[in-house]
Amino acid sequence: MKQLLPTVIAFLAGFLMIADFFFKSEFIQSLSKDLQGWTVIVSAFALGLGAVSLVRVHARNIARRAPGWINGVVLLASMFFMIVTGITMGTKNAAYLFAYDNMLSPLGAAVYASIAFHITSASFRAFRARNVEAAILLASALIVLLGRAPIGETLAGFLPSWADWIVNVPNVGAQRGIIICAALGVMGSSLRVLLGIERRYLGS
Amino acid sequence: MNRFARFDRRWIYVILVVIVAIPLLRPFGLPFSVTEPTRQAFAAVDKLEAGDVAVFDFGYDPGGAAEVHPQAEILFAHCMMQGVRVIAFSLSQQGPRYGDLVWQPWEEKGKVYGTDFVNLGYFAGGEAALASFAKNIPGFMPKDVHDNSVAGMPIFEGITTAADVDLFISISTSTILPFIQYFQGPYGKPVTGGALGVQISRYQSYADAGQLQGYLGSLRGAAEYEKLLEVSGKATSSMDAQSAAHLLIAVLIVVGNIIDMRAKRSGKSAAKEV
Repeated sequence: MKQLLPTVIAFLAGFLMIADFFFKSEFIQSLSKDLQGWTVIVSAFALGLGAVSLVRVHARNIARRAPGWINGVVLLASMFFMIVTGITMGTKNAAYLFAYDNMLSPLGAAVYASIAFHITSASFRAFRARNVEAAILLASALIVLLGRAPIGETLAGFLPSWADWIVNVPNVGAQRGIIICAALGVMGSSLRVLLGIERRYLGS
Repeated sequence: MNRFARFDRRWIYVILVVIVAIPLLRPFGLPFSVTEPTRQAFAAVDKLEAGDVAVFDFGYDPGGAAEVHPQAEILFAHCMMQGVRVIAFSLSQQGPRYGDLVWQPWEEKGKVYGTDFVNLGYFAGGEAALASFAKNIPGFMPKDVHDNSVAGMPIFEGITTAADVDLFISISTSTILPFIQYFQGPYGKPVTGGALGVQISRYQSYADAGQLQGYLGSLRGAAEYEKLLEVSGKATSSMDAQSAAHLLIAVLIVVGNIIDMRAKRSGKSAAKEV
């Protein structure tokens, strides 16, 4: 029963969604609308659950003075500050906006920007044409890299059209193959879940 | 190989900072052409008429904002210039703030919140939220991101489902494909958007198939759109810095390979001598 009931629920919910996509029945549409509404609510609760889990993990680390516990203090303090100011004073209040615009936003941008340094360093130290395949890949990368930047157009007028050809012909061909294969794979694995063949999501 | 191991990578970091800073402080104004996906995206917005409705997803966070926020700014500006009503939301928890940021200058220019624009905030639930939203646009979120009731807002006049929307725009650092799945497929509505440079190779297939009305790729896409709209914005002024960084990376790849090949050759000849 512990396995059967969730499998039946998954089957009904899954096929309701499929039926909703293919048939224009008011009854089916109303049921699927309710079900999708529940999914949104459950997802919102999952966010809360994530926050609780984060607090538990970091509170434990702080209590035990585990390595890096001070980072946990900063994380929890920041999290509660955003939650409290956001909920009690709204997302337009000065404190919330100050923290978002002057702390969260520049920190996020800085972390992302640091990738540029790693890529530049890797371009000198790691991108090697060790064999023919790697040489073709590297040449393609160089053409797209320069062809997609204004400097490429200035240096050599043919680079943008070469870059476009690489993106629009070999890349699209490969992407289509991947997309079609992935779609078939998703269909197969979804059917396995709906028909109860795949039950690992139940912990079995 | 030892030469690479000995080389202090911090020198590369310093060169990158200098080479990017120079064009930011003193732009060269390098010319650039407009690619087809950007033209298609521009055409999709340009054919909208005053009073039409666009649904706009600010699906990014501060990490990716440097690359995609200029896309959102210019697409949103074009919508406002056309007199299009914009219903905004975000599939990223940190995205709703960007909706407010692009709206701010237009509010100062006389556009009215609730009539020309509404920010519904973060949609939890991802694809399920999109499917649900498509079926009941005015009722999906009873309150906007600032806790105002959306009931009776003039922007929702004549809007019930996704079938009543004229264009869907997703600026996302995760994926814009669910928009095709939930709005273009079932309702036959045009979808366009913007993405990070590394993602656009995935979207060309959908653009070729007509499921995507073009897309803006990276900061370059935003700069191309600014060019089409004849506006000089952040993206255009950043193009020279991007060019400098791309050129540096290309030069480093070539130099690194030359040094590597020479080291291998000298290693081989040394082995022969032995």
